[in-house]
Amino acid sequence: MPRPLLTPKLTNYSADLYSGLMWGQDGPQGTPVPRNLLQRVWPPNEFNWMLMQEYALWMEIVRCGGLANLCPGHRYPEPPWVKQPLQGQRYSKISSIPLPAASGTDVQVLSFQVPVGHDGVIISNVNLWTGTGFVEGGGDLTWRVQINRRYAKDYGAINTTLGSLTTPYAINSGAIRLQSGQIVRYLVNHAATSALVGGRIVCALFGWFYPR
Amino acid sequence: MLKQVVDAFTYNAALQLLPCRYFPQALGQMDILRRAVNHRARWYVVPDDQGEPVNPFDTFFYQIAAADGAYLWGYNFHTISATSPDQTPVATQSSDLLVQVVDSCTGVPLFQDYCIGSAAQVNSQGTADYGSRMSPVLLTQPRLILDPALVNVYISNRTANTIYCQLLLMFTEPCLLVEEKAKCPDLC
Repeated sequence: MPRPLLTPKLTNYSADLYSGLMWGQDGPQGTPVPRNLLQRVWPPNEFNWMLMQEYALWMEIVRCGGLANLCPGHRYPEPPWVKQPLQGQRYSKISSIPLPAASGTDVQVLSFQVPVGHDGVIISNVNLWTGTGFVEGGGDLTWRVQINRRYAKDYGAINTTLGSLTTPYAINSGAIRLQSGQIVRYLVNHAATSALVGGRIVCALFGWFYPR
Repeated sequence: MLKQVVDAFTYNAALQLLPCRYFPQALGQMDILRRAVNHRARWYVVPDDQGEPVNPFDTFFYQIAAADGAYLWGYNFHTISATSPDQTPVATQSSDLLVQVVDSCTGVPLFQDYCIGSAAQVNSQGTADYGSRMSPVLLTQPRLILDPALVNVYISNRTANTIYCQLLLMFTEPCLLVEEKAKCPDLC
């Protein structure tokens, strides 16, 4: 249950109600007067009322289901980041590049922008190298999923193959949510100490976009 | 005519009356909050332990439990130190990190997307743009935090280094009347 911002009894206070009372005595309407300065409470002023009005307004918004319910936009019966809605558009972004030079720098394999006015999810991904000799987790190759300038949680330093050309890897049985206008990149880093040669780097992202 | 508010901002020697600048404008938005009574300052640091690292290419998740009815009105951010993947100290700067703050009740984020750390950092003395952003960084309007008064904080590291940082979130929260009768009925 939400705690009241101020004790309702206080709302009838005014400074003159304090007159004649000693510290520690009961104030009007049974409200105790502070015993010492640390317990002092000033009578609320008109600015407290303004804050309380804002508080009441937001509580009403919450009671009505929050901003998402009150603001214009689509209403989905189920969370659109869990189940693809009817208006959703599925995407499959697949790309490959030759194995980049062993320089230790990030090289972009795949990039796309979330359509403006749409949000989206990444539900599965693929990253692999088609050559031979790659030791999983060895650090020769590191893949990263970058969203704008940050890295997706737990997908910023992938040093194992995920998924295959026929079966993508389901992202922790969940999804990475995307926002309108975000730029998504799939990067690969070929370590400077690597001896890998030949082959191609393949990256893919799958999911759907849905209108806001 | 309202009396001038006497608080820490009034005593800020760096605060010059330049009405067209951001800081006085944002401070003006806080006028009601500054004039209201029975609020106390409450500053939260994230992460709680500044020895807690933000790992390379990772995002640090944290949650603050504030008081119902509290207002978030300002913040400060700074990186402390960093270590490279081979555990040697390296230089770091606030732009190596990205910050996001979300009100858990409404789901409304503070920034439209992750904000670069240097935008949340005060330009301290010795930096090239010293004085261009005053301490603390004020919100354009104080943000009311409702029950359950949880604030989610995300700090994302976009480098290969392990970085230590601190985000200081400044709240003011309502003081409730000490209900002595409820707490100790025998004494009253």
